[in-house]
Amino acid sequence: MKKRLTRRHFLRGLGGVAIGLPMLDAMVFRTPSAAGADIYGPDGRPKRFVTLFVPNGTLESEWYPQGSETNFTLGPMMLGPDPSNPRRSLAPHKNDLLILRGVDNYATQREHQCTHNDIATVMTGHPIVGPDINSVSTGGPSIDQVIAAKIDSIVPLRKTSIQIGGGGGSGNRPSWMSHAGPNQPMPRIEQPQQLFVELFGDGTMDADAAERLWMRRKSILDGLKSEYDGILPRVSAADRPRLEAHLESIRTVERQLSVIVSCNPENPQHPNYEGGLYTQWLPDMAPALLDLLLLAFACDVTRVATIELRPAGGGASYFPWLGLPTAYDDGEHHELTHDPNNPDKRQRLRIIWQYFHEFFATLIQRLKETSEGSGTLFDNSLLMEVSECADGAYHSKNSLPFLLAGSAGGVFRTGRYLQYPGVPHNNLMLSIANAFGVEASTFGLPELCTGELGGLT
Amino acid sequence: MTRTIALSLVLLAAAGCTGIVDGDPTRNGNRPPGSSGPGGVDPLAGVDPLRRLTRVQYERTLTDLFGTNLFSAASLPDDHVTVSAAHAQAYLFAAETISERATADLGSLLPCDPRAAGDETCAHAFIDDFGRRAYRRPLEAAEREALRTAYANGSSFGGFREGIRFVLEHALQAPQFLYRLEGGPEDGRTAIALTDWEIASRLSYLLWNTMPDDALFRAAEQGALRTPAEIAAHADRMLASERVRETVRLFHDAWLELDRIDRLIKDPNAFPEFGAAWSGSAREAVHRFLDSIVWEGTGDMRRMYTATHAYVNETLAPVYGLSNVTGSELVRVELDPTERLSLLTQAGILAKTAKASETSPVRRGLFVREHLLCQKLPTPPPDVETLLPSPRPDATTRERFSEHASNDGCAVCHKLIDPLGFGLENYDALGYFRATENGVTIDASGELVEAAGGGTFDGAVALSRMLAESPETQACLVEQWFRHTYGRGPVAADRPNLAALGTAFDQAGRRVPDLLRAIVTSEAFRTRQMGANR
Repeated sequence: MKKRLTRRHFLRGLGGVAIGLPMLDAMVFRTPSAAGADIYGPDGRPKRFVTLFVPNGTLESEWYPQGSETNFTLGPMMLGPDPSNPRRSLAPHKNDLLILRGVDNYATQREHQCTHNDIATVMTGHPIVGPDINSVSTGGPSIDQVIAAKIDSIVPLRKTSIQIGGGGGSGNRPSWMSHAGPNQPMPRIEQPQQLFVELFGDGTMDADAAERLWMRRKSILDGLKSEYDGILPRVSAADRPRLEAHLESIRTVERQLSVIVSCNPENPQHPNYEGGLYTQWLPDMAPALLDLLLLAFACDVTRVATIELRPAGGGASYFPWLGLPTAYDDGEHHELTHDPNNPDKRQRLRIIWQYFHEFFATLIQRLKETSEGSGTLFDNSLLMEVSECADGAYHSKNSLPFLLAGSAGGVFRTGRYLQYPGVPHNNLMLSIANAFGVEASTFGLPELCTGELGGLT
Repeated sequence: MTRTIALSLVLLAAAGCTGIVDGDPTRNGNRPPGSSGPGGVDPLAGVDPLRRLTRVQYERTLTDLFGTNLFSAASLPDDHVTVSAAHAQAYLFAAETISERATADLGSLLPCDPRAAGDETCAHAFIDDFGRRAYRRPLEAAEREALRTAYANGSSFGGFREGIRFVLEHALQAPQFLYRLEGGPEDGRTAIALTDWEIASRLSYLLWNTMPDDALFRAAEQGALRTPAEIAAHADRMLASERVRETVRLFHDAWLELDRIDRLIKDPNAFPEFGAAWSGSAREAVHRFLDSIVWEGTGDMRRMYTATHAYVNETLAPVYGLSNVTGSELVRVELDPTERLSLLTQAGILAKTAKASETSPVRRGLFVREHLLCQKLPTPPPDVETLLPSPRPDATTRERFSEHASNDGCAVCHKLIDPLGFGLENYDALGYFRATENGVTIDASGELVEAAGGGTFDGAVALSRMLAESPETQACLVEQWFRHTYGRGPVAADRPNLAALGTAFDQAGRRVPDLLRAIVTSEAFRTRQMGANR
């Protein structure tokens, strides 16, 4: 893809004069400092946070490594069929991985089990609350949104975060990972075309027109902020949080729109994929979405992304391009997880996980291949892969499959397999938040968090 | 009504059948090692929640505001309770699009001619007129000033038309337009009397799903929406309109989760005939059935459980064993009343409560318990084995589920669920009638326990007749309409109101329009509940 990468960050002075600053060549956003918990790495380049969701739990025996903290061999689900290929296997990235065992989800919908709706509790550390009209809600913000808000408080970006995903679940209401706050699920984007418009939509506009549109919107949004401010003291305490959230959303939109991104890739003209990620279009769509995400990082349009290639729960998740059967009982992902004693089905489940790990490896490798300043996009990134359940067959909530890649700018020590005796996953979320400089003392529902997860740094 | 409360307590008290019942987010038991803390109480229980216009209401309201459909709300994000930046951005872009379209012909938008009256005078007249309709009450001084400021900013930015556009864009994103603000600060009160304007909006959004019409606005202006008689007069006018039918359909969608029929997934090998056309037909057929109960004949809602007809087209005909139905139009057919009866045996209902290739007595039993009897059951107890045995070629589904009855830990709750689902075992995962499964004759006997008028039964027809006679199904329908009206579940303080509504419903022959009339003329409809326990 040919791309013209220029990013102009308008700084507005008293006279409302916009100054275009070409930032991309150097991409040094801050004076280099010592390694530490911040939204920037020690070299002054931005940190990025990406989550990849893999549905329906796993098979512990095939997912986890064998061995000790520093001397271990990857399980077959991570090794893949082509262990020397950095886009197909996690083996070449072993020194950049942190594999966590014994990190439990105590915020699950059911007391002693996970449900597929618990995709909503994994990144929030809050139990599911409800009801919402169209999806499952939880009691608080998810880790990606906490990090996005931290970044947004320091530097406004075109998009504070991006959520890629689609499809429903098997159960009642669709459920997904990213939530801005209580009862506030973040809408997801599924189609590459739509993602392109969200990320780069204004990029084709000339500078004068973009500036004029911004001035117009700024005037409207300023008036609205006053309107919401004025109404807040006049509504009940019960109503206030929702109107405050709306006001905060307007402020976020205002900051996002104030950044006029002139990072103008040629529109790749992806077709609209009928049926979306839930169907066999996945092998076509996933690379297209990844292209756009890499470009968005390179242009610094956003620094936080959540990717759900398939929804949690069962129904219609087939993998024909991997040679797996399309018969419901024999090839549907969720059905396969519930018959773990059948060796053929175990084998198919392994192939499915290897496919998702291949996507994860590709993401790592492409970040490593994209230069930024004196290094690559990977240097300061933290990637997380997780499922809503631990063991898919038994819907266990203990020992969720947490896989981290990258050090978050040198904060986490990678290349290790860490085993815990059953600690709440809110602790891990707290550690990740603080690796991005959030400086929190707890995460999620406070009584489900006992402090930062030891051993990561 | 007090029965229902007592019953809930019975369910909870049953040994082993304990746990969350209403989604209490802070449960006991699910705690990490070393942590502690009491369970919380929802501070908003019993508070009428703030309502934001749904996507449908947003589009309808715009159509009524401008007299023409200017915008499809399909581009807005889903109706989540609390907005995110994605919503705020979508509202912004929508307002820009709408203001451009609405000002294409200023002559039809404005109440005056700016060339005759002067730009600013005409703009201010427009603000008062449009603002009152957009905010659904007369503008207050500060609101008028904010819209005048928007006009001034816009006109200095790009002239008169741009000034009007700014007014529209401000108003269409203002909280007074997007939310149904009611009641003001509570000052510790447990209930706040609504204004005539707020009552006009409640009536209009409940019955017509859009903003008040001119007659309601006029009544509000005259202070003539205070008494039950005044409200009833408008309700009768609105209930007589076709517009209320769509509202009743939206209620049926929400109550019975009929939207799930559209999202159904079936095993393509077991049911190659299944697809989008099947789902669409099945959902519409359930609606047509319910429409016919509500709006035709006596309107007695017990007929939901005794009616012998269904709506069928050529796509659905095979499920009902019919070969003489052709075409895609749904037509009313009478079914064999020994094989099928009522809502329970509608293809859409049977399919949505089954799995991809097999039936699920648990899902079907829970559907009856939760949706039709309004009884919420707890989730499974700790450390139970919830993997069912794999399907066997020589056994029925019922036999596989027998583990639930033989295991004490399961049985205490599943005796409330499974025997209801067993009664529907004569219908497969798409709703076809079957006498045998895997060559074994189906046993469709069951028992309805812990419900008034319950007892043993054999098959769906007998179960339906039992539900028709149970006062609990009718009380549940009243409760569901309460939820739809107020956007929340009832609490103890609402029980007298629910009991009165139930009595009125029964005495009027269990007709939905009469129930709606009773709801809108009740004291609760004229007040905003702020929580009884504050």
